Amino acid sequence: MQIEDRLDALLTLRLDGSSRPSSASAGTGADDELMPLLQAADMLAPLRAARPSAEFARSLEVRLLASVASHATDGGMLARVSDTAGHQPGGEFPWAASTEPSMPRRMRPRRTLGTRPLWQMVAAAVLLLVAGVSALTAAAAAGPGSPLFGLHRAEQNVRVQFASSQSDRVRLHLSYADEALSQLDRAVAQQAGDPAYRAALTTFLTEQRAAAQGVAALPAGAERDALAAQLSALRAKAQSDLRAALHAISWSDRLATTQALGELGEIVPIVNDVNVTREDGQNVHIVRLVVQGSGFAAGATVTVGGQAVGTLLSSSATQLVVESDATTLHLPVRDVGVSNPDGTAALSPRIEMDNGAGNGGSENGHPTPGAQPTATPKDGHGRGGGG
Amino acid sequence: MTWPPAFPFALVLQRARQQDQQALGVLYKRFLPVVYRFVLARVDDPHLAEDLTADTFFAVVKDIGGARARDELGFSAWVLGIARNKLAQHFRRQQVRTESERELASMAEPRTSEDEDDPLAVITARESWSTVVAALNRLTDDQRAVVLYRCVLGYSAEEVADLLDKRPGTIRGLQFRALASLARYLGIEKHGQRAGRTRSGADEQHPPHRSRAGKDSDADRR
Repeated sequence: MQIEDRLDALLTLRLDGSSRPSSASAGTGADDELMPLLQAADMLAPLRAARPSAEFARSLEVRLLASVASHATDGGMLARVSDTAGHQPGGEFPWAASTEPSMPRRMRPRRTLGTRPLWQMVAAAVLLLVAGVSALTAAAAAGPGSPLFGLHRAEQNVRVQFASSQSDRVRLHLSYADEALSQLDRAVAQQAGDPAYRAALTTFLTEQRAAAQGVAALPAGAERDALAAQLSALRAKAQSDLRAALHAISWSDRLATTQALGELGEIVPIVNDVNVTREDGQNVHIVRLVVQGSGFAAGATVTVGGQAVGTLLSSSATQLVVESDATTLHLPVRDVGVSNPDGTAALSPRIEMDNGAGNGGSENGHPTPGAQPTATPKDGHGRGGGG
Repeated sequence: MTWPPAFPFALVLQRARQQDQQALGVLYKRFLPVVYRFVLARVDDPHLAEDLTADTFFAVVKDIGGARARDELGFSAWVLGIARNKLAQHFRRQQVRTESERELASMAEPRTSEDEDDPLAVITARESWSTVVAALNRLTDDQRAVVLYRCVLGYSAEEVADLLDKRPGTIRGLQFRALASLARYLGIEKHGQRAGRTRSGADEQHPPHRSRAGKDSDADRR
């Protein structure tokens, strides 16, 4: 055997950890010569066990997957393979998954009076431990809408509390916001609706808010600038993703998403109040809605209950006026809002009914207790009068 | 590295090429320690190693659609090739830094699962670790690649031959010369004689089997 092959064989034994060179072979001239080489190889042993920090591994995974989230398709194929192979469905890394002990078989406690409470305590402790570890492991992969998502969030909050520095806390908030945005994208792509979408949106807003506060609390310097840049990039991505989502989500989610876009600095419609007037002619009964606010785009519509209503009489960035036949728009109206062509939408917090509208004055379209609808003629129009 | 039979590597790779998040997650989990160890062997700062590892994986995710690998070994070669490029870029940037800045960045010690609870082991290792990395960096590119693939990442000589597109015999020759040089740089001697010179002409200047592996031996010096 040539000396290079002999070295390779000895190295293989060392790397496998099955055995070290035997004392007999080590005594040969060739192996004596190889011993320093093997010792040099041994100097690399720390590298064989080196690993990145768990925090880094987790954070990088989140960032990587977030970077492809918008292009991702449902990973159902692997999940199906996993199912057929007998692994836990949805498990991301089945062979590297949790190694926590499985539930121990129930042990029959001795009937000894003195030991029974001890057994019970031990058993209870083991059960609690196993259940806790299992729940935490499952929660780590829980997404919005999952019953374990709350636990996942709690775990994230604990991590933030135990972060070693303010900048680490900001990084965690950024990472969680990024993760939430990916989950929001997935909820949209999968048309998951609520609560998955809303939970992801709420989590994103909370985390980006916390990140912004954390960045503001950092001393000026390169680190703060870098984190601020990351936050800006994340917000820009969120604005793009949320705008893309607007046309694929429900009316109530559109309202929430519009508010989120407003928080991220975009110009969105805001409705301050709505005035409702009913005008009755001899054969014509009209309801007029005057909507005051800001951010109304060209082509914006007035909505009632999420549906566009009426004929637009006039429009500007701050006011919309529509009229509708009273036979199609029944009073009292509720949930009056504005929908812009880009999908952003807002509800009015206040609806004022003109007495002529037959509602006695109220907010949000709810009749004021005790108020009676009136038939007071307005502007010379008598309700059903003059016939 | 044994890929679990329930997940054919080709299937995972195919899905990853389509930017399937779960498949990318599987590959990431699998190759993270490989890339990290490969990088850490060149830069003795764990934080810098993490940064370069992150750069490598972002490039992997970005370019995986064009990866021509068909099996795990081929994919390893591709991923480690990217890591090698990232390291080369780093060292090029490093050249403009002052010597003092470099020294500041080279004080840390790799985390290991075994010795992190043993302060004495950590201190001892920290003192010697920079020397080991410096010695590795003095090897030729091919020698270093062979030593890292073989002694750190645990590939067999045959697998390293596939990874580097050389013959197994050539790999063993490179391995011999690399470890001899490494022993010499680290001051490991036998009977007062430098290990790399115990075999006549075995140092890089006179690689064995030159006629059989001429192309590799020439590259060895490069």
